[in-house]
Amino acid sequence: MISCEKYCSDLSAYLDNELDADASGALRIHLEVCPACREVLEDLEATRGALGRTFTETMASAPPPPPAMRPAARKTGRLRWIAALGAVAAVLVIAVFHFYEPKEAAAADLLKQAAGRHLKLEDVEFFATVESELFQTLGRLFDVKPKKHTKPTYLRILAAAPDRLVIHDVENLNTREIKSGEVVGYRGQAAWKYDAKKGHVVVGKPDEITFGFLGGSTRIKKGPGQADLFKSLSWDFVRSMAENEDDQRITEITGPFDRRIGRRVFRIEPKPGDTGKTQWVWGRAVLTINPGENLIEKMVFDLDFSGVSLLRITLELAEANPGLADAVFDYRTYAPPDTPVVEKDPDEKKAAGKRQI
Amino acid sequence: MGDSSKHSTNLEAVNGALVHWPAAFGLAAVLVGDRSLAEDICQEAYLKLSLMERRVVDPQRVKPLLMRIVHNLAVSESRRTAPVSLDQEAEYAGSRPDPRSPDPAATAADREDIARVRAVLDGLDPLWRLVLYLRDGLGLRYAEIAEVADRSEDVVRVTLHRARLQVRAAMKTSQDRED
Repeated sequence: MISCEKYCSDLSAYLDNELDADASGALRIHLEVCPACREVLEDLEATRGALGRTFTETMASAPPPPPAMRPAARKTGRLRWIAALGAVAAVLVIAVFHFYEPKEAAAADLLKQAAGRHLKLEDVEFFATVESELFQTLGRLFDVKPKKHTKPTYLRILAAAPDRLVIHDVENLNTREIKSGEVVGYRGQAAWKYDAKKGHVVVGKPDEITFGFLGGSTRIKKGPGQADLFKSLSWDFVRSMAENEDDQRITEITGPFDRRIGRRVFRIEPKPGDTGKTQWVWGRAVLTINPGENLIEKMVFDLDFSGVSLLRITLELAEANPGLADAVFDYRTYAPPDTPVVEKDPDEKKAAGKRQI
Repeated sequence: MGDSSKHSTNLEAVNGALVHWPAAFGLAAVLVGDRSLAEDICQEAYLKLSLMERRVVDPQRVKPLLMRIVHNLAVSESRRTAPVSLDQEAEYAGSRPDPRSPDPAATAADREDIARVRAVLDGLDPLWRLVLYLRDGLGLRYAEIAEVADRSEDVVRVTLHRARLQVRAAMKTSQDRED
């Protein structure tokens, strides 16, 4: 004969409809003759109800979820090639560091070929070996293990310069500049302060920095080279990045048509999804094109994370590549055919070229 | 690109999982006892989910997966910090439902019960809190709870039963003391 104790231990499972038919039937018969077990069952049912109400209230008081993540929008028309070039630039960088095998044959092969013969790896400021998760990269780069997300949420650092930051309020869709030492309150829950001397954002603890991500943020302890990350970006470059925070992919940073000089500089921003496995890497490529010679003169690629440069590579063309010339031709059709090209003296051109990096 | 379509699909699954945000938050809050920390844990859980390979993120079974991630993160967090009672949080009181609001589902007696249950939950073993929340809060089956908790179904069954009895006994004691 089965004891009351044994039946009792099955009461929760009975209540949850998790007993098999035999056990459930036997217990039901026992309950008809055992008031003590019936009382326990009623107690358990009441407890389950109270627990359910408590948990429901906890869930109901949850803060709003972060904004939904969106895949990259499809590119159309004349912008497609140039945007694709930006993506290919990312692919090229990735290929250089052996963590991605480009599968887009035509364009990728073209640039790989160019990299072998005509492009020179000039300047690598930060080296990162990415496997699959960007946080691993960050962890290695800063020699820490990023662990947790912290408040404030919904802010993203777009860009940084030695004396200021540009942040984007994801929730309210505005972009603002924070000068060194300025404290910015947010939803009354936390305050940000950018400390130019220390070269990082202060959020509560001065030895930590906050990266915006996924509508939230991640704290990472300040590690070796952290301050240099910010100093690596010139302000002009930073500002040009911040001016177009909307979904625009291609921006000319050498001014409007009527003030163009011989060298034209475009910034191309591959968005998540453009580069396959690097979907969580926000990349920016700057392309310097000489329209007079149909030549891409220089490509600066910034592998960054929420505006913080992790890796910068400068590629310089030594000579024109016929395939690339086709690409440049495609680019030229993007500009209005009557676009004036004003040649400046060589010294000024050289200065302009230096400024944009 | 083939890869980008894979990630798009993964994004869709993760975005679809945003409907479970309150459930994820509730679990984190019950386990760590701190609303702010719970929100951080949820953020990180979704981030982890988004970084998982597509094949791992089955949209049909994303809820248990999400709960498991939240549980693991909460356990790691609890090892680092002492839990704080949900009722001790004045900082975020404004974001919680106003107890004075006329909610027909929440009678005064219910509110007393909820306060008692909260107090009891604070003192329970994290595994007990986990199984109680997954079953009585989310209504997961024992098999799913076992998956999230990384325990056998038998352990889940026994733990849940003991936890409910413990809660009931503690509530009765508390009620008797008040009377």
